[in-house]
Amino acid sequence: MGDYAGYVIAAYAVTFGGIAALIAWTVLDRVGARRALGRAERAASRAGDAAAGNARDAA
Amino acid sequence: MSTTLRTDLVRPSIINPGRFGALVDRYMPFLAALTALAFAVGLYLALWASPEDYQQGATVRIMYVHVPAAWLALFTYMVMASAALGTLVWRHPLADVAGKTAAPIGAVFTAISLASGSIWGKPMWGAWWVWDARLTSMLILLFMYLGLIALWRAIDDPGRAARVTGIATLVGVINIPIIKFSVDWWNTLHQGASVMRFDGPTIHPSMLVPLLVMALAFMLLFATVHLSAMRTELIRRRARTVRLRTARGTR
Amino acid sequence: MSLLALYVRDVRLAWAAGGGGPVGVIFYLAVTAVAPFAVGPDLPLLTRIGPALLWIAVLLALLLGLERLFQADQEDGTLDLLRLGDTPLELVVLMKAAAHWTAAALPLLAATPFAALLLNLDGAAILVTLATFLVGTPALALVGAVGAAVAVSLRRAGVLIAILVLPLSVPVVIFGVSAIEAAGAGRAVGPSLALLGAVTLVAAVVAPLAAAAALRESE
Repeated sequence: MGDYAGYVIAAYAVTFGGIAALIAWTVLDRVGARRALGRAERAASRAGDAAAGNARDAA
Repeated sequence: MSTTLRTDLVRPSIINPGRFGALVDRYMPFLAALTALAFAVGLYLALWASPEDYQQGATVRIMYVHVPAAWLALFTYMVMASAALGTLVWRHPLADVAGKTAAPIGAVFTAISLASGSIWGKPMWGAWWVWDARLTSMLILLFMYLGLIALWRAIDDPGRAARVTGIATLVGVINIPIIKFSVDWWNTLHQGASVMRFDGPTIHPSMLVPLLVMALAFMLLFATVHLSAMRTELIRRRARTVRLRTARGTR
Repeated sequence: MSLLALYVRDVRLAWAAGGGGPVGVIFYLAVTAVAPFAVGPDLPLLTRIGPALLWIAVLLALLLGLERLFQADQEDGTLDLLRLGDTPLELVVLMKAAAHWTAAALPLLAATPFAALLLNLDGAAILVTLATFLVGTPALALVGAVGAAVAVSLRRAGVLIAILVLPLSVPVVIFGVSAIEAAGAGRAVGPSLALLGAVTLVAAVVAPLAAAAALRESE
């Protein structure tokens, strides 16, 4: 590629580095969202159990 | 509440968030594979199977990533503007999600086009940055993306965030042509050294094919990442709803 | 509340609160006075870049009061009354932007001759600069009103408004400064000034619509 090889390689590295960061963000964000949903659902079922327990005690 | 339920039953279309999630989950692997394939073909054509330019030498190969990234940077803004219309006119929740998740992707494409353009400019212009009309417009576009992302994160309620940011996005759509025109005008006033035109209409077919394949690959990448990010945002919203319901229930 | 009463009230409040006119003028002069320390006391250079420095100083000074443009009314409930009132919200926004311009931009225009003397501008350059300010600052006030309306319900919205507004201010700065440069080079000022006026007119149509829509969403 002659004298300009460095520039071409740098441009492709920057581009695909950006694309890799985008894909990494997508994957990590999905993992984080799934965890957040799991936490929320566990908390909801605990709260549901507690509410059921309270209802039983009251009865 | 009952009316929304009924419309969902009557129209179980792709714009129903639940159906959308299932469809995305099913077709995501194919879309990702197609994207990878397009990039493989595009890279082969761009780096091996295309000629060097008689003036610019090997640096013309930078065009095959720089120009598609710039196209996608503008295209993403148009997607955001359409989503803003969907939010403001039809009040569709999926449009909210589409607009929110497109902004970071557009910012990344804009940044890629700026960085690769700057690297291309160094051997061509002799400087990393030249106040060329295209580069300058792109820089302003990047600031607009970042401002919209900041606005989106600043408002807590997702529905209101979508509507307010949608208005700001549409103001940006009106402004982009004005900015482009003013920057072009400013550039012709200050034309010092000979400014090179990179991608004119007279491009040889041997360079056009790799360019179009790369553009297709970038387009597929956008679709893959955007649909996946929309799915993620829907999961986040469900988590939010569950949290809010739990908080109300225990109180 | 009639529109005229709203205008008078807003101008008076902006001056009384201390955030508007007087403080803005001091800020404007201070920014202008700092510039020679940065570029050196080179009078020919200052003459050349002076109008551009003044435009940047005006741009920054007009950002100062934006945060409170709608926020004060949002907090004390005035905005709810305006939303429910008979007057279209678009006209209310237009009036409030006009009041902001009167309270914040007009004093800057009055102070411009003094700031221009610091930068070694001659009479003709001062006049052209004032003309561009007169045509261009309404557009800045209107674009600023959109930023203020979008961020009305946010705490510490100042920097966010600046980030949103500055990209939209680029055409105003370009046409304003290019008119001054044309005058300096002996070319016709008309085209740049006409384009600047066109930007202001577009802003006068689009900004009230957008800002009113944003205010309706932020109840």
